[in-house]
Amino acid sequence: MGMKWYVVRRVAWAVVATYLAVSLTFGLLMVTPNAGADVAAAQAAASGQDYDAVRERYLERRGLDRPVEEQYVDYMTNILTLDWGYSFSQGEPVLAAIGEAWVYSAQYFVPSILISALLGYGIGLYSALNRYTPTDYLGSFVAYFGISIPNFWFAIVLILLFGVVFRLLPTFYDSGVALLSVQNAKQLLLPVVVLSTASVAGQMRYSRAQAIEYARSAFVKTARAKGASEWRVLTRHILRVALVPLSTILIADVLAVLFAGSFIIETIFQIPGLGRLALEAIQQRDTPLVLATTLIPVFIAILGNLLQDLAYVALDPRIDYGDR
Amino acid sequence: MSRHHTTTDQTEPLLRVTDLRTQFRTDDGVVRAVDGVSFGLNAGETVCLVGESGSGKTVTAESITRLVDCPPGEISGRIEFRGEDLTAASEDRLRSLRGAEIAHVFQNPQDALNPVHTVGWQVAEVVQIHESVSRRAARKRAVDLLDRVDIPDPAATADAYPHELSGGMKQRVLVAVALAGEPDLLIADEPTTALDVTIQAQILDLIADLQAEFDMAVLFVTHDLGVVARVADRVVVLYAGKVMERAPVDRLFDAPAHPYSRALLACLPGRGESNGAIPGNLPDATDPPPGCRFASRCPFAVEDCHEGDHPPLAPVAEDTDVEAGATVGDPPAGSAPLAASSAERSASPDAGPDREHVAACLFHGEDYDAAHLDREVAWSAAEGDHGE
Amino acid sequence: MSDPLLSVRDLEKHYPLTEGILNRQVGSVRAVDGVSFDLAAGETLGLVGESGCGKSTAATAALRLEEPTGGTVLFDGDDVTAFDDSELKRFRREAQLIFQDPTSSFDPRMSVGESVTEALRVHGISDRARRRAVGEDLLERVGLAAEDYDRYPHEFSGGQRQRIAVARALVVNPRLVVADEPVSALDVSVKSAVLDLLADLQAEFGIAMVFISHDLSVVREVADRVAVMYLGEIVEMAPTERLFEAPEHPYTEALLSAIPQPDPDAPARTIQLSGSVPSASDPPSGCRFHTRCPKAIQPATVDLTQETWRRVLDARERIAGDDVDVAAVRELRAPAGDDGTALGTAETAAALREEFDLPDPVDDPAVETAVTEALSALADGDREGALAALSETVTTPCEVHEPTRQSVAGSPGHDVACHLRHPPSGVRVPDDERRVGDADGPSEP
Repeated sequence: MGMKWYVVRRVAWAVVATYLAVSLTFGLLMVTPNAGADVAAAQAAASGQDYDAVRERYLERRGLDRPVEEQYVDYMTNILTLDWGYSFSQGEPVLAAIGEAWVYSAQYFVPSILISALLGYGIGLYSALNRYTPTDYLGSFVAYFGISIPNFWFAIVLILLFGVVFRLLPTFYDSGVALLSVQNAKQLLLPVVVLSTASVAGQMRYSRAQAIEYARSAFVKTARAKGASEWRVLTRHILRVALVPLSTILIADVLAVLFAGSFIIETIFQIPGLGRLALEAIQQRDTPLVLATTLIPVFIAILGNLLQDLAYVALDPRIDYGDR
Repeated sequence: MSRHHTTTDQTEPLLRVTDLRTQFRTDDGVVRAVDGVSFGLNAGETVCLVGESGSGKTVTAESITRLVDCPPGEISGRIEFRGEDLTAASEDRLRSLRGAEIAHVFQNPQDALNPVHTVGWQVAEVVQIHESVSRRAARKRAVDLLDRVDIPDPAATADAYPHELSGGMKQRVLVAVALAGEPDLLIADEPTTALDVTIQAQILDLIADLQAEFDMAVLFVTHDLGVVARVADRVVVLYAGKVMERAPVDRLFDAPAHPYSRALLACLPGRGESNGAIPGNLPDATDPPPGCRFASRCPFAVEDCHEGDHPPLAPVAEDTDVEAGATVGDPPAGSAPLAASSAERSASPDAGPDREHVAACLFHGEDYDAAHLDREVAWSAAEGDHGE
Repeated sequence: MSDPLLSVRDLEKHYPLTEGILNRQVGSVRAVDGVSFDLAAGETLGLVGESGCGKSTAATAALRLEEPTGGTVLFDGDDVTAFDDSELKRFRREAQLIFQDPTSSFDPRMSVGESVTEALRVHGISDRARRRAVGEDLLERVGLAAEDYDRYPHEFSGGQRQRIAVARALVVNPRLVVADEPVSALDVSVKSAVLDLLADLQAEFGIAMVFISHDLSVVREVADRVAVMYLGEIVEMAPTERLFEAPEHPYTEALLSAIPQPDPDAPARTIQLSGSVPSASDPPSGCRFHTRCPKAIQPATVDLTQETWRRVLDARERIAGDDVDVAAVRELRAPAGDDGTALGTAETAAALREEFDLPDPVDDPAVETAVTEALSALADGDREGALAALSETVTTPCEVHEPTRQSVAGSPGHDVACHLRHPPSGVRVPDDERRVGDADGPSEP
C-alpha cells in the first residue's frame, strides 16, 4: 500500500527532475553566444558578405529570433521528439553522432563496471572474512595501489609495456575492427584494465568495511550459532544486508567513471566514444553537442538514483515509505 | 545421536569444561579473557555463569562451540560434550552441533535477528541447515515453533520482519530459533537483560517450561543474582577470567564461601549491610598480578594471597557458615584438586557431583582457617584507588 | 506539611503524529497524559514503569527540557511553565539532571574538572581559581581525588564517571535533582556505592530527588515514595515500603511479582499480563490497563472464573486490534500438507477457539452464546460482525469508567486509580478483592 504509493511518487520525482534538468540546459543555451551563427557569419564575411546580415539570416532560418517562450516550447518539443539539433563539428545531427559514439564507449565501459563490481565485492568480502591474513593484506595493498595511481599515467605505462616493449597488444584503438573479434577484445583489454583498477579498489575497500561491520553484528553471530556455513552466513546474511549500502556506491561509481574516466581513457587510447565526442564538442564550441553530451550523464544519474531507490524498496523491509 | 555417547558412566556430565583458556592477541598484548575455567553440566540441569562485566562469562559461553572469532581468539583446554572434545573438533563438526545439539540465545534481541529476512524464514533456516526438508515443511515447522513459544497468531507473525515486533516478541522468536534443532544444551547469554521486568519474567518462565518439556540442559549466563536464584541448579562464579566459586544455588546464597561471592551478595538490595560496594577495579586482563585475582580488592587478603598462582579450588566444608564460624573440619582427601573436576568430585564423596561446593580461596585450603573470613571487615564505601 | 518544593499538576506531553507532504496532524502520541505529584524538599520520589510508559518524558517535561503541552509545574510556588528566559536559566541551575549513560554524557575532549565546573562558567563565575577550588572540593566529596580534576573521562571506570556526573549536577547547589536510570548501566558491585553516594549527598544538602528507574529493587532502596506509571499516567503512588508490601493496583502487583528475588527458596509467583503495552497514540478507554489487567472486573450479568473472563477479553482485544489472521489459524490447525482452505465455518470456529485458548463451552451461557456467534462470524471473515456479537455481553466496567487516583483507606499518603478499590456505583467487586476498609460496599469519597 504505502510501498506502491512511494514508487509512484519516486517515479514522478524522477520525471520532474528530468524536466528541470532539460529546462536548465535551455537556460544555458539562451545565455550562450551562438557559436554556429558566429562561424557562419565569419565565413560569410570572409567571402565578402555582410557579417550581421548573414548572422541574422542564420538565426532566422533556425527560428532563434523568436520570443523566448516560443523557443522554449519548441526546444522541449524537440527534446521530447528526439530532435536534438545539428552538430556542425561532426557534420550530422547530434543524436546520430551520439548513436555512433556510444557503441565504442559501451564496449569498454560495460565490462569495466561488471569486473569492478564482481571483483571489488568479491575481494572485499573475502578480505573481510579472512582478516589479518596475508590475502587480506595483499587485497589492501592492491586497493591502495589502485586508488593512488593516476589513471592517465597507468594507461601510458601499460601501453608502453604491452604495446611498445612486448608488442602483445595494439597501442591505440582501431575503430575498423569487427565488434566480435579477438582483435577487438585485445585492443579493449588495456582500457578495461585501467578503468577497472580505480573502481575495483573503491568497491573493495567499501565492501570490506561494510562486511566487517555486519560480520561483527549480533545477527551474524545468531546465524553462526544456528550452524550456518561461512558461505551461507556470507551470502544470506552479510551480503544480503550489505547490498543496501553497496548498491549506493555502485551507482555513484558508475557515474564517476562515466564523467571523469571516459575523457581520459578515450583520449589516450583514441577511442571514438562519448568522452571524445564531448571533448571535441567543447573544444570546437559545438553548443548542441555539448548540451547533449551533458544531458546524457544527467539522465543516467536520474535513472540510476531512481533504480537505486527502487532497489532499496526491494532490499530493505525497514524503510518507512511514509516519511520519504 | 547416541553415537557420541562413548561412556556408560551414569555420572558423566553432558558438558565438561576443563581448564578452558581463551585469549585474544591484541596490539596491547594477550588479553586472557578466560584463564583456566572448569565446570560441568548434567543433562536437564541449569548452571549459571555469574559475573560482572570483564569476568569472562560471555567468552566462556561462546568458546564452547567456538563462536568467538579465532583468530584473534585462541582456545585451549578441554570442552567435552558427551565425551567428545570440542576444542579438537573440526569446524564442520562444530557446525553440525551448533543449532542442532547446542543452541544459543543472545543478549539483545534487537540486533540478534537479521533485519531483512522474515522471522519465519529465520526460524526455518535452522531446520533447513540441519535437515533435508522442503522449504514448505520447514516453514510449517517454523510456524509450529512460533506457536510453541506462545507467539500470538504464529502463521501471520512468521511473515513479519523483526522491526515489526516488540523486544519481548523478538526474544521469543530467538528462543524458537534455538529450539528448532531440539538441542540438548541451550546456552543463554543474558537473554533477559535488555527486557523489562514483566517481559523478563515471561521469557524466564518460557525457557523453564521448554527446558522441562525437551529435557534440555541450560547454561545460563547472567550478572543478575535475582535471575540466578530463580533459574539455577548450580552456580559458577567468575571473576577476571577465573572461577571463584562453584556451588549448588542454595549453598551459594546461604553460605557463600569466596570473599568475592560474599561481596557480590552483599551488594544486593535488602541483603547484608546497606553498604555493599566492592572497592577497587578489575585487574589488568593482559598482565594480571600474581596471586588471587581478587586479592587487591579483598579485605581479607593476607600476604600469601598476592603470591604464586591463583589459588586452587578447594572444597568448602559443609558446616562453614557465615553465622556459625567454622573450622576446616576433617579436610577431605586429595590436597590440591586443581585441574580435573572429577578429582574435585572424588574429594567429597558423600556430597555427590551435584552438591559440589568449591572455592578458589586460600582460606578454604588446608593451611588456613576459613573462620578468618567471618571476622568483621570494613568494606570501604569509596571505590578506593582509581586508575589501574 | 509545608508547601512542596515541586508540585506537578495534570502534566501533559503529547507529540503530534503527522502524515503526508503537508505534515497534516492526524493524531498525537500521549507520552505523558495527566501526571500529578508533589515533592517536598529533601524527599526522594521513585518513578517506575516499563519502557515507553512516559516516566522519562514526565521528568524532562517537568523540568521544561521539553515544552509540556499541558498542565502546570510549580517550583517553590512559581509557575515553571510561565518562566521567561532568565527565570528559566535560574530554574535550570536549581534543578539538575543526571543521565543513565555516564560515558556519552561527557565531552571526551574536556577534562573532568572542566566538565564539572562548566555550569559555573555558564552561570557567570569567571574566576578560574575559584571554579577550580569548587570543582576539586566536589570531586573529593563524591569519593574521587582533587588531582582527578585534570584527567579525562576515558581514564575513569563507569562507576567513577557516574560519580563525576553527580559532582557535575551538584556543582550549582541545586535543590532538585532528577536522576534518570543513574545506575542502570553499572555493575552490581559499584551500583550500590553510587546509590549510597546519592543518598549521603541528598541528606547533606537537603536536595529533593526524582529517581527514575525500571529497576524496582533499586527504587526500593532509595525512594521515600514511589509513583507507578503506566501508559502516560500514574496509576498508584505510595510510601515505598507500603507500595512494596501492600500494592493496591493490579499493575503494581504484576510489576512487583516479576522481580526475580535473590533467594532460591522464594516461590516464583509471577503474575502474567496478557498482550502487550498498547500504543500511546490510541490509549484504551476507561482504565488504560483494562486490556491487560488480570483482575478486569466482570459485568454484573457475567459469572466466570477470572481466568476465563480474561481470556474472553483477550480474544475480543485481538479481534478488535485485527490481530488475528484467520487464514493463518486455519493453516496452523490443519493437518500437515494442507493449507486449511477446505475447513468449513464450524471447524474454523473451533480452530479459532483453540487459538484464543477458550474453553468449550465457556461456563457462562450468555457469554458462550456471544462467543459462538463471534467465532462463526470471524470464521466467515466478518470481523465487524464478530465484534458486534461480543459488544453486548463481553464488556468490562473498567473500560467504561475512567478511574481517578483516590486515597486508600487506612493507608496515609497512598492513592490508586483502580475501580476495584474505588468502584463506581453499580459495579460489583469480587469478594476476594474487597479490602477491610470498604466492607460496606463502594465508598464514594
